[in-house]
Amino acid sequence: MRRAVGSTSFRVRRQFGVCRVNARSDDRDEFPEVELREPAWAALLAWLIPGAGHLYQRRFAKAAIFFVTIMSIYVSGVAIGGGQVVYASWRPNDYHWQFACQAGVGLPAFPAVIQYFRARDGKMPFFADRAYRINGRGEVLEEVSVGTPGSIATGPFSPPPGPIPTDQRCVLSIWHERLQHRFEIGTLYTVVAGLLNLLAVYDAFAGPFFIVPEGKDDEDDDERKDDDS
Amino acid sequence: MNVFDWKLVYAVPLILAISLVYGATRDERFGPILSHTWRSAVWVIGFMAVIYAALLWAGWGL
Repeated sequence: MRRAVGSTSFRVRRQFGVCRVNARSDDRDEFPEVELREPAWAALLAWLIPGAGHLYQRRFAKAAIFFVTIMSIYVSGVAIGGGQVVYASWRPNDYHWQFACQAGVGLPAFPAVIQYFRARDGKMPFFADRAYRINGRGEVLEEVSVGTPGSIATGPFSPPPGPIPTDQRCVLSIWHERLQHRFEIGTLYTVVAGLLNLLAVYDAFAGPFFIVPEGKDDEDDDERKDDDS
Repeated sequence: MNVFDWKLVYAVPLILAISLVYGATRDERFGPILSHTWRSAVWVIGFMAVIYAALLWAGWGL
C-alpha cells in the first residue's frame, strides 16, 4: 500500500498475528519486534478498558498513552455533557446512533446499557437526579423532585424518558436547552473517544502500522533474494 | 463578526488526543510516536485552519 505524506512517498507495512516486524538483526532498532501474545484476547481487553490489551501484552508505555488519552477525553465528554450525552436509545425522533461509537470505549459506556434496561422495565435509573411529570405525548408538564408520585426520573447515562415529540417541549429538548452547545461537544468527545479506542483495539490485535520509507522495502526484498540465492 | 469563537478551544484536547492515539498506532517507541503526533497535529490544525478561513471568507458580511 502506498501513499504520499508531505513531499515524500511512504509505504505502509501491516503485520498480523505475532508482530515480527523485521527478522534482520541490523533493522531491529529501526523496526522493533512486538510480542502480541494472544492477539484476540488482547483486542478484547483493549476494547473493554482502553489500554488494558496493551498492558496484557506488556506494552506499558502504549497502555498508558491509550488509557490516559482516551479516558480523559471520554470522562471530559461525559462531564461537559452533564452525564446525559452517553445513552442508549433507538426510537422515533431519538435514534441515538452515537452510542454505537461511544460503545467503542467498552466498559466505561456500559452504564448506559444498564440504564437503558432499567428505563425499559419502568424502574428508576441509578443515581437519579432529576424527575419530570410528562403527558402521554412526551410533553413535559413540570420538573419535580425525584420520587414524586407520577413522575419519571432520569439519571446519568439514562435515555430521555417518554416519547420524543418534535413539536412539544420534551425531556430531550430540556436537556439541550439546559446544556446548549455542551450537549453536542460532550457527545462529540465521547464519540471520538470510542472511535479512538477502536484504533487501540486494532493496534493490540495486529501491532502498529510501521511506516517504511519508500525504497526500503524494495532494498530489503532485493537483499533477501540475494541472500537466498 | 467574531473572527475567533472561544468554543474553538474545545478542539484543542480533541486534536491532542487524536494525534497522540494516531501516532501511537504508527510505532512502538516513544520518540517516533511523538514525532507522528506532532506531524498529525500540524496536519489537523492546518486542515481546520484552511476550512475555517474558507468558511469565514464565505460568510463575511452576512
